[in-house]
Amino acid sequence: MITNIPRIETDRLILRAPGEQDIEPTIAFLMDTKRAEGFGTEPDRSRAWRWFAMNLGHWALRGYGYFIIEDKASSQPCGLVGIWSPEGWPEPELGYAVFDGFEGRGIAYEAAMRAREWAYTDLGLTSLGSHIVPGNARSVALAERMGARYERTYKNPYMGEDMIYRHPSPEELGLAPASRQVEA
Amino acid sequence: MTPHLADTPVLETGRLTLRAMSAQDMDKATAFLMSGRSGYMGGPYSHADAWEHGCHLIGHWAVRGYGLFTICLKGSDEAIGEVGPYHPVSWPEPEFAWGLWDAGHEGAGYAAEAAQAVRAFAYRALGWTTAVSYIDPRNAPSIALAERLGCTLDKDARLPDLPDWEGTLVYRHPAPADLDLAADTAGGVQ
Repeated sequence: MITNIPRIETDRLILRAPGEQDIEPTIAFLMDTKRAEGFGTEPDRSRAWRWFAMNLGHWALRGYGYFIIEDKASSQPCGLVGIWSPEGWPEPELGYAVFDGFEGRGIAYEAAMRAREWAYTDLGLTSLGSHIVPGNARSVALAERMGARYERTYKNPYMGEDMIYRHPSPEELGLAPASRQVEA
Repeated sequence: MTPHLADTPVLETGRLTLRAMSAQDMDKATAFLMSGRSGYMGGPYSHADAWEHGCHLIGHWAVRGYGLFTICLKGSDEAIGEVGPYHPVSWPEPEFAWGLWDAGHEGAGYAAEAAQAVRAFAYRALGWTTAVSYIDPRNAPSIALAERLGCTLDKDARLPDLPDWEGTLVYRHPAPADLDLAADTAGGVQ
């Protein structure tokens, strides 16, 4: 019913459209107050399902959203990565999260690197930040490992104080929008 | 190519065109959700929350394969309200929901006309055999509409297990057989 959400592969992962089989793992993640604290938790199943549906609406409205990260080895959904810009966001964000049981394997890094490349080349975005709540050292470490640097803090309607880590630009990464690559 | 909803049905009635809620409806949908008119539907919402709620109504189509239609007067593509099958995970059973976004469109029978069309669609094309409408007991116009649609109070029906839902009325819609509507086994949509 929703078409054209891309399917992108990395060595170990598939970034793909959210499907029926991802509903319960996503709800479980969003209701995990500890694990989803930096991503944005939902208080109950109702709100968590609303977020799942909202993400698909976000794809339809914006042309991008969160992919499900699938672990090739187990075929299990293991996280979320994508570009996010609902009402109240100052600019599109590169967001990432890993589900319970899949941490410590570099999955977020591998997925986020690929999603960033997709956003710069296929979407043609020219700048990306990752928005991180103060105290989320793990997310800061990942952003810095990707070459992102602290830029500023703003007030997010859901998260409150939110730090923006600015990623290297497409030029700095040697990436050009796909359309320009075709012309070149 | 930009991801988008595809192959969603369009329903025609005497005076109305009903089509899947989509990006072009977001401004009016969020304005409604931020207004006092959404007070019996969990509102009024903040701007960010209204956007998230409206966006989930569009995403509902992708998750369930059906969702709310926007009500347009024939000849116009501007939505004046919403109506349709709605089944979020916390609902114990599917619902027919409705809302007119502007008081200026009340009293003309548009909501009844639209609700009858989506009910027939759900019974024929989706194969639904029953459905309810959840209504705040203070929402007299909505109760009147449910009764006009032949619904009856179902005191035994389960409510969503959510805060602040106690006292919500559950109106049960007539079954397909009571309306002379049979599931369209060919799978087509009229």
